[in-house]
Amino acid sequence: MSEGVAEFGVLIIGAGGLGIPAAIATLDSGATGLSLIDPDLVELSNLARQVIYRSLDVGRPKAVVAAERLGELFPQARLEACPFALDASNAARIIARFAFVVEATDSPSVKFLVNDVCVGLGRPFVYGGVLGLAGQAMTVIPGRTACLRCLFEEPPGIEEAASCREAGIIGPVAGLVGAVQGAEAARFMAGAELRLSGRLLIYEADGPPHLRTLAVSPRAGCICQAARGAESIATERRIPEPTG
Amino acid sequence: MPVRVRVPTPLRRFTAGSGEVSAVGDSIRDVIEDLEHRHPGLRERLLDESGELRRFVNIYLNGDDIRFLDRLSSRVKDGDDVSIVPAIAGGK
Repeated sequence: MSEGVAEFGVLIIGAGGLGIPAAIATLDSGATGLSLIDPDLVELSNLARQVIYRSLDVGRPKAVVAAERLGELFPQARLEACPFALDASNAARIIARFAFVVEATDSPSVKFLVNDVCVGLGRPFVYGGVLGLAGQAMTVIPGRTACLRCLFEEPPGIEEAASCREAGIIGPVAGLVGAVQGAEAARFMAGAELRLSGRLLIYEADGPPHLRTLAVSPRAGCICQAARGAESIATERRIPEPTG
Repeated sequence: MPVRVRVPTPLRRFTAGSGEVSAVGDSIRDVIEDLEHRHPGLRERLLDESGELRRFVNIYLNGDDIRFLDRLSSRVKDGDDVSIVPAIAGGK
């Protein structure tokens, strides 16, 4: 069930390797209202793959710098910078303001928090994840399609998350997945068919680059089942049935 | 019965970098045991201490989520396509 009225367009959670290409793809497709939330400061190590930042930005809040640069690229856009963390204490209040959410953090726990809050509020979102030369993306339409917990019941543990960090993130892979996420956001805002609702996109590039999708079905007993059948009027209006 | 197993990027260190390997067995659980024999270390990445599929990993058999089939007891046959799908949670 959708709660409240969205005041703004797209919320992008994370202004890094996924979030910046997602923002560019969203705005490039004509969407105008976009907010970026990220608590981090620009670091020197970010510059190679988070290409919107420059060396003179080191030490400044990512969300603020990203909004400035995106404003230069898309002067018609209404941009908002939120230089703080999304967490369990504020997630519902923040997410309720937006029509569509792009989850673009590097935190397994935040990815599942966003899933749970979006499912509870009836807000569509697109999940994205990258690791080394691999990436995933999936769009969730609460009440209509499977959610992240239908696919993975729990986030990876600390040990698994640590091994992910060791594997690192490859800029072009994050760029591709982020752009896919942004395209989904733009389609939603335009009322067009979403390509990844109920489908997990898998991209692997260690070897011949390979892109495929897998169908993800709602899982009995999942938290999202409580929302099933109570989709929002907005979602009903915008989202055609998944075509598989 | 040989099946084709798609190994995701994060687990290819156990398969000498190969993204696709063969394994044999009558069920998904058999296939995992054979994978462990051929590529030691894989089983622990897929199954928890009680021998159940880890909750942040999924397995697809011919495009179907095994949790909607017979989970680890799902039967496999010659030429089947088994795909290991772990949660990938990085992003910055």
